[in-house]
Amino acid sequence: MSRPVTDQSRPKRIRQVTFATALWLVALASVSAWAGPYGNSAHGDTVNGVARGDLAPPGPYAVGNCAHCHEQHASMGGVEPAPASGSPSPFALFAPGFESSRRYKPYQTTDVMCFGCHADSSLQVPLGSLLNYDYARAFGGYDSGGPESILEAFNQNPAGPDASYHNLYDVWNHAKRFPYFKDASAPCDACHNPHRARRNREFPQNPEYTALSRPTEHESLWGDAPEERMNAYGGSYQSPLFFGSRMTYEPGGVGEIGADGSKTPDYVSYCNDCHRERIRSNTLMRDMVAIDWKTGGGDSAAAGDKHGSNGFTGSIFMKKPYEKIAVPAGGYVLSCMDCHEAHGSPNAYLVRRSVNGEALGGVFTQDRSGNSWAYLCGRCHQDDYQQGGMTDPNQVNRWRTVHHGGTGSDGSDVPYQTGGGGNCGTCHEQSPGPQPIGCGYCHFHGAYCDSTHPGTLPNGKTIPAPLGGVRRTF
Amino acid sequence: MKRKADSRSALDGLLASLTGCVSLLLVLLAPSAQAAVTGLCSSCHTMHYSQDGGAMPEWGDDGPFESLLTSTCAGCHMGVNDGGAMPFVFSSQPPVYGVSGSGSDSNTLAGGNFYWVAQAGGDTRGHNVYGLMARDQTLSQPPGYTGNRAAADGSVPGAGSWPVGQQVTCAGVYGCHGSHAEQSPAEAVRGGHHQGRGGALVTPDTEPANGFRMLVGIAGYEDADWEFRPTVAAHNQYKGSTGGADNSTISSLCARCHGNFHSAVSAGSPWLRHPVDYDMGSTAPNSEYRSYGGAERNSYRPDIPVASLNVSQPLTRVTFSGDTIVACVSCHRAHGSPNHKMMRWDYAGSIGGGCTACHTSKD
Repeated sequence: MSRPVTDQSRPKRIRQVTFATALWLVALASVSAWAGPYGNSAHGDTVNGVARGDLAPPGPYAVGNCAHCHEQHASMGGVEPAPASGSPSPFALFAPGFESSRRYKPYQTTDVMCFGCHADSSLQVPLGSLLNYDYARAFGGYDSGGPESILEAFNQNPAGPDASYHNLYDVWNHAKRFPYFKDASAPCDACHNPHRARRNREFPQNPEYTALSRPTEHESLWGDAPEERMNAYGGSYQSPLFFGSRMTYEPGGVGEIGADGSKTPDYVSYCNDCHRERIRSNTLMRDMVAIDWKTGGGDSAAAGDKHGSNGFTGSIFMKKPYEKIAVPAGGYVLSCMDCHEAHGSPNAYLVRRSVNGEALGGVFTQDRSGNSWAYLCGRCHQDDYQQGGMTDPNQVNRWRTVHHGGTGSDGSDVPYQTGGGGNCGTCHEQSPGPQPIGCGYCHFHGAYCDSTHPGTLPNGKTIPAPLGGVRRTF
Repeated sequence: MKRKADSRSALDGLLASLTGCVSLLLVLLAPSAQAAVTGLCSSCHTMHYSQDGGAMPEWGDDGPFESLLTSTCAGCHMGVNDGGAMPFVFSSQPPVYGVSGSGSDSNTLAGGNFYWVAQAGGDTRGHNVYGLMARDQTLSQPPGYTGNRAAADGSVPGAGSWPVGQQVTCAGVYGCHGSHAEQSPAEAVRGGHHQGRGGALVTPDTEPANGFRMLVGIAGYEDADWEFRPTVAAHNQYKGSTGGADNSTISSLCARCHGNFHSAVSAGSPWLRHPVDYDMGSTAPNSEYRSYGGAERNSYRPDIPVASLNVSQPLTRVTFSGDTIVACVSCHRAHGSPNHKMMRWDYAGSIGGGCTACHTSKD
């Protein structure tokens, strides 16, 4: 068939220049190649990555495809333009990032866009297809009980007063001070970059698979580089024991070589992007103390926490692995995750279910007056049972020695010596004999004791200044 | 009868010759009409849809056709591109598309090809054009249709109301090319072939001939060979404009039928829908988008093009100052592609693929 023709010339072949062609070939090659941060991320994994319902194979979209979270036109297949949530959502997500009217748990699947997948394990399709354990299990090895999904972690024991969680409204509200974080952002974005977060639960010993991004460095991972790990934080770090083991350590059961923090992301710098300052807690109905993990200063009111860079006073009686003869000068610096969970916990204050290789002896409660806090302290510090030769079970979770000294030289730096004119009844309830004082009155982040701190307790007993006048007590 | 037929044939020949001469004269007198069709009138037209007493075999059995044409749009524009002077948009054999349809071995053009839509299960791979393939089995109307955006001549696709089940056409009331006020596709693009211009079309008016690819009111720079194996230096330059109100942008053309897709796209981050007619130069100087075309190199990418305010010439580099405007065609092929949702690259079959052309920090 005869075809019309045009008078168009074909000048482009002449205009082409070598460099332009080369640039074009480079650009063309990049269309199909995607091995960058998203491709390496947990969500972008072509096998285990994000996959939304019927969209994933045999549906049209590959596992890890953007469409599993984003609807570029606020619509999806055949029912355009109505998006899944009924109206367009910011960031072209299939659902709003956060339902900010939800101030407290229990959270629903629809409260946070991420919960659409990271839902209760019993609601996941296929069942249990996206298991996310708490830190105690994923990195600490405590594989008994605990949550199996992120939503479950937040919603633990909703009927119990002592279960705690990272209040997502508070997270969302606080994170808005970071430039990248928008009103419409999901609170999860404060700590994670969903386009970069990696599959750390599968590789707990390898921090290159970190799922973290600092709020102040949202566009990069945190913990993947050697300088972003606990051994580089400053001070000496010793990983706690792996659950049930005396020979292996967190994270994930590493050996001695990896127990120096070189396998552990620097959680202190990470968490303190927010917690270095006072933060309002809607759950606690008060401000949370600012964490000072950097300051030394010894026993002064202005000093930092001893679990951080500040050192112990004179001597210290610890359990393995912190009982080493050659305890580093100033002691060890701890990682936040040595004691705390990130999302939620059956204990108060996000305290882990297991610490330093053992489960807590009971629930760590909000109540300051009891000795439940010692369930945590006792995982690393020696109680009277430990110091007494471990012969009298009645001495378990008793803390007289560390406060008042024992035999020999053990009491060289105790804060309150006995036999020097002290009157037990000043501080202790006396029936049937001197009763322990709740740990929570003196031992918490930022705490110190002097003539006015903690002062008079609710039971009317007044704690006097310790020896030396002031003592940092955390 | 034979005599009558002979005289009609002679008259046809005379008319064809005269028309050809007039056309040629017009072409010679109009130096800007570089893209106008030239050649013998009889290449496209027949006075009586008859030659030597009957229809020519190559005309097919469906005529006669409007405007005394010997065929439909597809009749002329069906074939295999080889860089020649005729743009083929529909092929009976699988076109060579490659990764992006813009490679050195591809034989599709800027709009892609309708071939894949015509294949079984191909509804999502392009526009289901009436006469080329059956209607879409899922979508009975253009997704996102609002019917409230008009072409420069005031015409609106479907006159503002798209009948359920109505297929899109090449041109006309339900088409993309020409005026939406004309039922006849040929009438809709009237003058487009004979008076068509090439190169820079910066001031489109109501005439199809003055619009980019006979798209009424749309500006742009027309690549001389419809982007057959385009390069950084030789490609279409699509018109874009920020704010969403400029009806001469290539994306505004799409919005005539897919208006909802363009609602809430100009409010800024966080976007409710993927923005179009938004300049990536409006992002922070250190944003990931500033690495489009390579960090600090910023070459124009014909495979994932961006539009510009100035369409007087094709750009080899972008400067993020009115020349990095996201357009519908940045991601989609207007006619069709081998990919789901007529994407330029295999988006659905990958974790995103070409998205990283702009979302560079993800790569």
